Amino acid sequence: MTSPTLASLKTYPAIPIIAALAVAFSLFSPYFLTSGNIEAMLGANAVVLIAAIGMTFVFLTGGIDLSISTVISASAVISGLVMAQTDNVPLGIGTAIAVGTIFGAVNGVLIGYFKLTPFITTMATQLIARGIAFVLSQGIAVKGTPYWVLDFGFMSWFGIPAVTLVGLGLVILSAAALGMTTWGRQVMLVGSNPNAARYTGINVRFIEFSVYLLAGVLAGIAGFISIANLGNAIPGVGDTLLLMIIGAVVLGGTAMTGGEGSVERTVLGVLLLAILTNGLNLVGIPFYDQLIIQGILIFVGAWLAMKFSGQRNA
Amino acid sequence: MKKFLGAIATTAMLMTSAAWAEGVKIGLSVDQLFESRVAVNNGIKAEAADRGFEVVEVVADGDAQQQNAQIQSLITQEVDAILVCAVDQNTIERALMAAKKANIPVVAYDRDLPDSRVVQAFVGPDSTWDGRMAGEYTAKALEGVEGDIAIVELIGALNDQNGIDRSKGFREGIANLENVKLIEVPTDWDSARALAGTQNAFQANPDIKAVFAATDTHIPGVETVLADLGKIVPVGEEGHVVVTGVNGSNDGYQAVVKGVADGFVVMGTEATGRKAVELVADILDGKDVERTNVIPGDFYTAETAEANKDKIWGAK
Repeated sequence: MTSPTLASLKTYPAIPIIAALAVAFSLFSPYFLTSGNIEAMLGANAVVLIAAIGMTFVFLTGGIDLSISTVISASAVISGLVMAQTDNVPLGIGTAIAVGTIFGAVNGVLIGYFKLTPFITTMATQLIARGIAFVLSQGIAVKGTPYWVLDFGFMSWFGIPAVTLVGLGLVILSAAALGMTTWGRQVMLVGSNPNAARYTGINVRFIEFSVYLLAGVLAGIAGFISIANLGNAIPGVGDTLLLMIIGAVVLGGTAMTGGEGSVERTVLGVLLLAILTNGLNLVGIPFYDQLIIQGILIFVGAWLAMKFSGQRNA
Repeated sequence: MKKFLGAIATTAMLMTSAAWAEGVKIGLSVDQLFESRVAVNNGIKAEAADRGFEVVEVVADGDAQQQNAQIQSLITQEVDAILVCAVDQNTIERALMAAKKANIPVVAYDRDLPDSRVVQAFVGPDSTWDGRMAGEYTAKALEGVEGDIAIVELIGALNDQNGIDRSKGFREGIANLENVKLIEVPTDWDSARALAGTQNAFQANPDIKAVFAATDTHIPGVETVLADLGKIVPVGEEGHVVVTGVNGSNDGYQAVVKGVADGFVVMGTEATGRKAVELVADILDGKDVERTNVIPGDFYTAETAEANKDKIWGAK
């Protein structure tokens, strides 16, 4: 039972599904494995990837952040307005990150220090962020994005879009922070056993504060990336992303109950959902049929994840 | 795992068997599906079938990111042309630029992309005309009424060109009517808001003479309000409230046939869909096409609606 294959399946339950989907889609669509398709698929999922990293850290502490999706929208809109006025790209990037940081800090203070429930707190910030995005943009896309940002959205190196490389850079940084630092070990411990964490002298409040802050910062970056991807900042950009983000993290194999998971698993979860939506489109399956197939495959994914992790516990 | 693979394989095979035929392949990128959009899409599919074109349809369900990715995937599939109804006119230009780079012509339908440098042609409803016909009917019906004439206008979404143009047309249609007091009710195309807005309007002003619904799917809500107030009076009799709308849905048809609504403007959804495919065919043949093509609707009253049932898309 200790073969390397089985061990990696336990850690990465998404791998067999990804492999099966990739084989099936490449058999049934001659376009699936083309470099153009892979590039488009990677680029389209950069926003979800970056946001899902933040959600992973929140899940590791046993919390949830429902505001990530609309903080993406609010950061995008405010950053877009700033760039339309000033034509200053670094200022736009800074604005997006600052907006995300503020929302993350509010969530972090309320949940970490005031001990409010993560679900309700972030539901409230979700509404506020969505409201701000629509009020400031008056409900329509913010025009006047500097050309550099548009060009950046089109750039790619060796078939990997620049926006995806930004995401992968953040993956490496955050995986290192989780796996190689004291802070990372404390995050894991807080999620798996908060009482034990408290007795060992870990500042549980600060750890909780820090993961929501990080999720906010990453949502801000994701908001800026959405502008590069779409060409404009749109107020509704994050509205449909929340379940994609949560789904990617959970399918990747990170537990919503805390203490179990990793950034690498989330990368695989994002890849799984990316392949699924892209492939179903390529194969030409009608939209609402796709939803049914997606739902069924998520059952399968959840079952596999349970099965593999169950073996580990046994 | 084998079973699971098999299931995917079978599904995929069933659904792609038709997709590899030779010939012209049109990518159809739809913002989301609702009654009138489906009616236009059916026109597109019918015309494509008549010409032996294949249609690859993708639906974004109101998500601009998704629509971008889907247009990319149509480009990857090397479609010969793309027909698009955009979720948001400002956010798919990037994906359309990629289509242009790949030499794939783009035609917009139902919702124009006026600022686009890629879209070669547009076909959609003549919303100003449609609104004007409802306005002209209303003006004629209320000719000679003494004193202030209060009219409720249920406005569509303010960021939707079709909603804006229907409103503009309706106002042109009633321009010659004197002493009009227009009560604007913004609905964002939402039936619940239309109902609540109509109720408020009648409470504040019980003597309202007419209601114009930017979409006839709001007429059942208007009917509810009129029935509550005991104001359902046949056309032509004292106390009748003139009700008109634009669209052509089954809601509108039933209301007109029952006599609750005076008449409605029916959009040429099938003609729009067929024209869209015709534009694609002409562009692929290298012919010059008009940039903007509009299909005016037809006005039907209780007397004409039933006889023309086959021309009303919602009545079929």
